[in-house]
Amino acid sequence: MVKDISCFTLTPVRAAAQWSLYRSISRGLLPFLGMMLMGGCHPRDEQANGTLHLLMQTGFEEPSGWVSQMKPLLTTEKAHSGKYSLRVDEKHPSAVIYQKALGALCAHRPRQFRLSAWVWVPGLSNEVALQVSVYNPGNTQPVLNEPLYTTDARIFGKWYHVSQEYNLPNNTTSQSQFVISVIGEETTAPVYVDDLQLKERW
Amino acid sequence: MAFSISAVKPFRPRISHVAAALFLLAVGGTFYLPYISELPSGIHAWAQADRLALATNFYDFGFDFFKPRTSNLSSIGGVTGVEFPLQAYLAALGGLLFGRASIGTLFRLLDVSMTLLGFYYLFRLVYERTGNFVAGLVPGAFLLASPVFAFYAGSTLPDPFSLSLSFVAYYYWLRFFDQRRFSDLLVACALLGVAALIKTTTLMHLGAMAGVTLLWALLQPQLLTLRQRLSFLGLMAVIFGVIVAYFLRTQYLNATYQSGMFLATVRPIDDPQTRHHVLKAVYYMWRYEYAVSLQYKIIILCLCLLPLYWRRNLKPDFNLPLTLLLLAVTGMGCLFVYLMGAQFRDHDYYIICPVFAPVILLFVLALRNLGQHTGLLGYGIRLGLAVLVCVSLVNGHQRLKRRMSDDYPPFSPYSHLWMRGGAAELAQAKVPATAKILVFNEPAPNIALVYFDRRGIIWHSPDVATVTAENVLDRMAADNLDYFVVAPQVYAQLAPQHAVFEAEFELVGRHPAIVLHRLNRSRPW
Repeated sequence: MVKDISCFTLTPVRAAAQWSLYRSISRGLLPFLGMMLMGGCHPRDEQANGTLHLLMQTGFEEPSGWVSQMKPLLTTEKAHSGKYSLRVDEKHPSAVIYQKALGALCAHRPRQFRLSAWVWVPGLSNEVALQVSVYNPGNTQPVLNEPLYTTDARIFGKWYHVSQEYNLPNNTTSQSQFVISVIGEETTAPVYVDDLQLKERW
Repeated sequence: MAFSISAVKPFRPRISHVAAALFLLAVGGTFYLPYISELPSGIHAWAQADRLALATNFYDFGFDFFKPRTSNLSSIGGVTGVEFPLQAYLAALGGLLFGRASIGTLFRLLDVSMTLLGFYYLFRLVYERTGNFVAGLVPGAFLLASPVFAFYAGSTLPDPFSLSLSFVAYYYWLRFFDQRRFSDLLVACALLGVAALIKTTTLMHLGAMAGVTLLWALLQPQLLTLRQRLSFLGLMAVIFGVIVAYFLRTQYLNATYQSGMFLATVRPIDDPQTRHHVLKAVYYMWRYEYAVSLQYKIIILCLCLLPLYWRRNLKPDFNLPLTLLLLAVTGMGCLFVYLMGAQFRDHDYYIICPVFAPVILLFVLALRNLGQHTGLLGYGIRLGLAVLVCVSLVNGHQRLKRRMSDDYPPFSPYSHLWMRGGAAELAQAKVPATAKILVFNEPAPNIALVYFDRRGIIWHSPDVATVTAENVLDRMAADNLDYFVVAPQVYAQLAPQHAVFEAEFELVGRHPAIVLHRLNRSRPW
């Protein structure tokens, strides 16, 4: 299902403390451990602390709210989770799969997004990219237009996770359109995309 | 007392050591207690505030050591790469015990404590070799006579902290040569490693120390056994590895969180104009901030003593390790000046680690030579050094007092003085601690945010008159800021916009800042 989440979701205090503790242990900081334990209980402001906040995620199970161009790509042939995924093939090589005004995603000007997805690619020649674009109002040229390639990891024939961070330009407005497309003009065999997730670092 | 190698014994607290420690504590208290609770002030309050902001944000954001933040949200979440912020972290931890409001005081106290510890080990460096109590007190007094060192030793900058820690390391390194106790060498390396993490400049001193040790071991194989060599090289590899890893982490943080707050690159003098400006600034502005006239004369005297005592200085079981270290650290200091020369134009504290280290080693070398004299000459030297200690401390104290005051031309008047009482004003106006503020027309990224004790954005406009209330509202909407904070005299310059400000904001504070609360939170950004 599609899940739009406000930029101001507050993380519980205990979760923050536990996360801080986990990171400390995982980095082998035993000398600091005692001190960290003491210090883990003082988060003051969870709104702008540089962590990733979930803005949107979908497993394509309930495509309400999604752009109509995406619907022909939906398939039940393969899925990383649930029943549905997107299939990009010669017949449907590209499509806009998500579009929203930045102002509807965030109540402030975002600085950085992270897009991630699970992809199933049959081979190197089946290049499919998840294209992230931002268009300012009245302008057909995007101020951001960067692909997330799915073949660079050289993992084929099974589901794997891809992600990329995008620094947004500072000339965007709340009316700027944020667009995610799939582009697979050269693909000869189906490529599948599932469990898309958009996060903001704020 | 004449020196003999047998006089160098494992340390046991003696009355002289206790007396020196008490003396240094008294000096430290006299110098710094009057200012211990002050917010960043004086020259380069900018850099001091950045460091203090690290500490308060450690406290506020769960003590994630590897994700340091300042209060300035121009980087994402305020996260920034910075040299190993150990002082800030320890000061923040102290806040757990004594309260958040005490973090600034603890930070200064920590730096002063490390400085005094460094002085104590300088005392031991001289005293345990010469038995001359007064000579042992001279290096600390000499450093306190330096306006730059004395000022920043009681601030939040890492430079004096790192330098003082390196003095402790030097002590153990030289003791290793005296007593050949391998653990001393390891302690010295570890301490210099921490000092180099805290201030990267000190990495050069670590390199110098390692280089001299390896050279010595090469020429005198019995210095280290094979196992000790491997242990030493292993430790050095670990230390350099940690420093490189932390540097890469810093670069990652700066790139990911879009921060450029703390310099993490070399800044050489690369054109004649820059060289001209640097030399001019050093000569006219900083020369007598680095050291007073008497200190320059003493440095020249110490340089003259260097060849005079050449036999002792080049004697392997006497001063040769110290002489070699001095030469190596001097070379490294020159390298630093070459790599970071452009920074010397505006930053007086850049002198502390690269130049003060060889100067103090030179000074210690001279004292170890002078201090071993006995008889009438010995008494004369003792008397002269006692006078030097007194003069240095009195001058240093007076100069620190002047430098800590608000009136210290040509550096004053300082631009941050109007902010005093800012945090109290916001508290009185019941501005939430989590509210984010837009501070208008301030250049420094964290000074205002520290003084007003809030996170937010600094907006420095080159032409205040052209800024409209709409610009302010747009900026606040884009960054989701709650309060507009501006100096009254700057707000007066926005007079044509006052009507719009009154319509769109609620006035919640007048002094020391005009504080306006944004009313329409649904304004599109």
